[in-house]
Amino acid sequence: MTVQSSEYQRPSRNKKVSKATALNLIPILDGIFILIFFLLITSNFSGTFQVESSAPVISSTPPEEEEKSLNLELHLGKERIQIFTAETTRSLRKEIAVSLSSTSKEHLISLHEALVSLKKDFPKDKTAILFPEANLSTQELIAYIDEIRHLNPTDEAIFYKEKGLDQKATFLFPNLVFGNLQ
Amino acid sequence: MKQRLKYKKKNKGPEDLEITSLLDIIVILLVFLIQNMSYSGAVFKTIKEIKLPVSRSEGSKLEGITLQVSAKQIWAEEELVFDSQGASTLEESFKNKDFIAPLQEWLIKANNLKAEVEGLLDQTKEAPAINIVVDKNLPYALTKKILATCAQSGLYKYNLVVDYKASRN
Repeated sequence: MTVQSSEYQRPSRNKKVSKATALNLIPILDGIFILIFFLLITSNFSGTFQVESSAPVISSTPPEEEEKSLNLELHLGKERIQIFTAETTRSLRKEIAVSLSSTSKEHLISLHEALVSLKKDFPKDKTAILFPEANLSTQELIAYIDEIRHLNPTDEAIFYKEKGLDQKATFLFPNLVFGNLQ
Repeated sequence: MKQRLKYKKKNKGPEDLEITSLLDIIVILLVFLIQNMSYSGAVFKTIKEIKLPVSRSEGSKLEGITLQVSAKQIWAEEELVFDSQGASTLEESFKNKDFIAPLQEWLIKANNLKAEVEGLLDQTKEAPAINIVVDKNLPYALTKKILATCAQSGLYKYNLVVDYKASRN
């Protein structure tokens, strides 16, 4: 019995079996390899950044009338750190002993905590004058500077009024001046 | 049986290379490289002897003159300004001096040249900051002399160049 229908196609032995064609990945691979070489050559794995600071400048023009300033002075040494302030008269606010162990960061934490409490009293103050000791290494100095400049994410938020609006302090004392250059 | 084996051997086409695993590795490598590519932060050609100090500071507006100070040499831009030849170090070479004379000479020369060019264009422009690349083990006594020399040459703003690290050192 045969089925007579115009739509029906009789199975044929000659019919080609359609084979699943493999995706040609070679051009993609070529492109990816070129991209990898480009990235390897252009990428820099150690980005360098900066710590801004300045030297004291003698000016003949009188300073503008400002709010009460902290006049923060920091004497940074291998054995101790001294924090001086001069709102009215210059006085020693705190002395921190540096631990002899090179891995201990306790003195850095103490310095940071002391500066955060000072910042709370003088939130608008941004300048600190540094007096590092001669034998302090650059890495030790930079470690001190980090604690002086930056607020940690775990620090309590400090706000101050500017133009009638509350502003959040993003830095501790970002403006650094080296006071003992001469 | 022998014939069947022969037939099999004859009809065996060139085998396809299995590149899936290779592609996997390449894609991982690509993602890693793209993630690590830094668009911020400046790239410095530091001299071999200098090991940069590590810091949490992130600013990267590094313009102006760049000084590089290792234990034995001072480079300004890409010019060797001073080399304490032999066994002595920079510290010993300038032990009893407040300034580094060869550096001061170079800075004044560079400053004058810059002022001549820029003075014609914009006289109100502030003096640029100077980028100082100092080895992390050098004592502040030497850094102080470098800073004092810069200040003497009319450059009062410094950028100490550091390697960035997010956490406390």
